[in-house]
Amino acid sequence: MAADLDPRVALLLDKMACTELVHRLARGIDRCDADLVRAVFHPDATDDHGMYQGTAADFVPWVMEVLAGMRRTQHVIGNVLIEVDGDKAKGEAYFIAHHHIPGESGDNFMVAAGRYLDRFERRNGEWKISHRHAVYDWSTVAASTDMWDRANMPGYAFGQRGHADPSYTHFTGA
Amino acid sequence: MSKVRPEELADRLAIMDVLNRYARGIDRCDLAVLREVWWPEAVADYGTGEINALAWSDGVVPALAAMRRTQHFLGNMLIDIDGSHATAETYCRAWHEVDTPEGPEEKEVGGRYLDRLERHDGDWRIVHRRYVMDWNRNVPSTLQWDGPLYGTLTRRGGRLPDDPLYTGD
Repeated sequence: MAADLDPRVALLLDKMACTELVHRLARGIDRCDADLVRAVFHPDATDDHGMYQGTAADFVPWVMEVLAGMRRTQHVIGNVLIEVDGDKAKGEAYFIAHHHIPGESGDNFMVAAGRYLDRFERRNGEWKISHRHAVYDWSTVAASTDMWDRANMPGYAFGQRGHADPSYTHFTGA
Repeated sequence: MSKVRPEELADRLAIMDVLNRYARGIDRCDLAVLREVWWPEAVADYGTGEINALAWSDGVVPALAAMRRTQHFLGNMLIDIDGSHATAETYCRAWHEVDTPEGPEEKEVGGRYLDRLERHDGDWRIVHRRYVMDWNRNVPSTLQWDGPLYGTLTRRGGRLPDDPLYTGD
């Protein structure tokens, strides 16, 4: 961080960088992009999702397998509180996670809401997540009422997993 | 992609503001606010092909007004800035209550706006928008307006000019 920055601006930038990590992790999960998920964590980072507790490095293949059992997800991030203390920060990010899951008698639409309690660290000038703890607040599940016939709606862009999603060419393209 | 840089702070905040003002224009059916998020030559493609964004705005406001109410809840914003150009991905959970032959229905749509924005004379606006749909949920409306809880929350959202935003009530 440039030393000549107004400390209020520096604080704003640190908070924004941490918020950006939360958003990028959601993007990595929803696109099932293991590289993107890995990139937001420090190499020695840890994760506690309740049903998974361990290193962030092992969290990545675990969560990719969980995601593979679902048709699609969308992790919407709302309120984000970040407290910065030097090169460390703590965050609380509200999430509403939407999951479209195949079931025995048709697809289900499951919504899980809670908060990500994150610890961030700045190393070599770069903020990354050192620990993520998912706290669950509420959930709801019902038979899917999705009404789009994705195979027969030419022209419409539908969210996809992996690099087929339009967001990849959107960010890298002309 | 999308790293926060000090020199881009003002640009980033201005872009976030444009994206948020779109949702206000849509939900309040405020065409003047909605038109101001686009440059005149801006193009919008919500799935049925590219159309001038101002013409799209003129058409969408009456369509929204025909619905009982809407709320476009914007979440995650990832923004890449390159000089006076930017690309952004914004999550949106769009909720609508609409009349159907079977009675009022809640229609909720999860998706993302993929935008290109440009800065001219210090002013950021959208030049190109594509909408990507991720999921939707459709159920008979469960809205309640009276009773011991909801009956006390008497200041309700509306469209221009009735919303408390405009009336000052």
